[in-house]
Amino acid sequence: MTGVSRSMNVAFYGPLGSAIGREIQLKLSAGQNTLADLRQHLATLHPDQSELLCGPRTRWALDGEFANDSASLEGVKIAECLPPVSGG
Amino acid sequence: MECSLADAPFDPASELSRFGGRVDGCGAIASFSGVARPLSKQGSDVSALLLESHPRLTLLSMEDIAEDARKRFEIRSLRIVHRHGLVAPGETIVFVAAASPHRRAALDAVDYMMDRLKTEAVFWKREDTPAGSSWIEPTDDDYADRDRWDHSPRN
Repeated sequence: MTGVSRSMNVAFYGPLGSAIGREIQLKLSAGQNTLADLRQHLATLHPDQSELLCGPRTRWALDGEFANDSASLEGVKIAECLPPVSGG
Repeated sequence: MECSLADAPFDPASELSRFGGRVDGCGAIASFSGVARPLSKQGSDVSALLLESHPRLTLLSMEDIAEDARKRFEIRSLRIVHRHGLVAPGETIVFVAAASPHRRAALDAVDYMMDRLKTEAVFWKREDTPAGSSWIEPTDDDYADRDRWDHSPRN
């Protein structure tokens, strides 16, 4: 599905939810097809949060399942950004 | 193995009593309760702690940790209760218990689950003080505590 722009929702938790918003709708252009592309796009839009958005301890879920940078965004309805967690 | 999220204060002594009443044939029950501190690391009064959770992944992460502990140690029964939402200083944040035929497995299982909960359970912690709010991330010591289990032998 390369060459086609898409819209998707992105949810943020913890400090990123406070800084960016709980959920936003994002338009991705043709060629932005993977989770890595989404991370980079968000880091460009929110440079003050790029360290957290692209940090190695920030995890992502696509439609409720954990995903890595190479995961395809095709058909994905919602991406969730999970910055470093801290329970206990 | 039972994991649950609590959105209101709970009594760890009652949890321990209930847990102890359900385990037969175990020579050891170990537990840990984590309590919300009244002061931040900077020494400010903490008015509240917010524990933000994920609607699905938070409980799944707790269950994964409990399941890994069950596989790793000689454990007959496990229990994790974790608060979410607003927590007042002095209230219990987390209760963890393990029952085993022998003490070492029970103690280690509780230690192991706490180290993993601190760094892997899907919660985000915000401390509210008169000076403002700040999000708390695990420290390097927290990650080191978790990572020591990667190198220790399974029993």
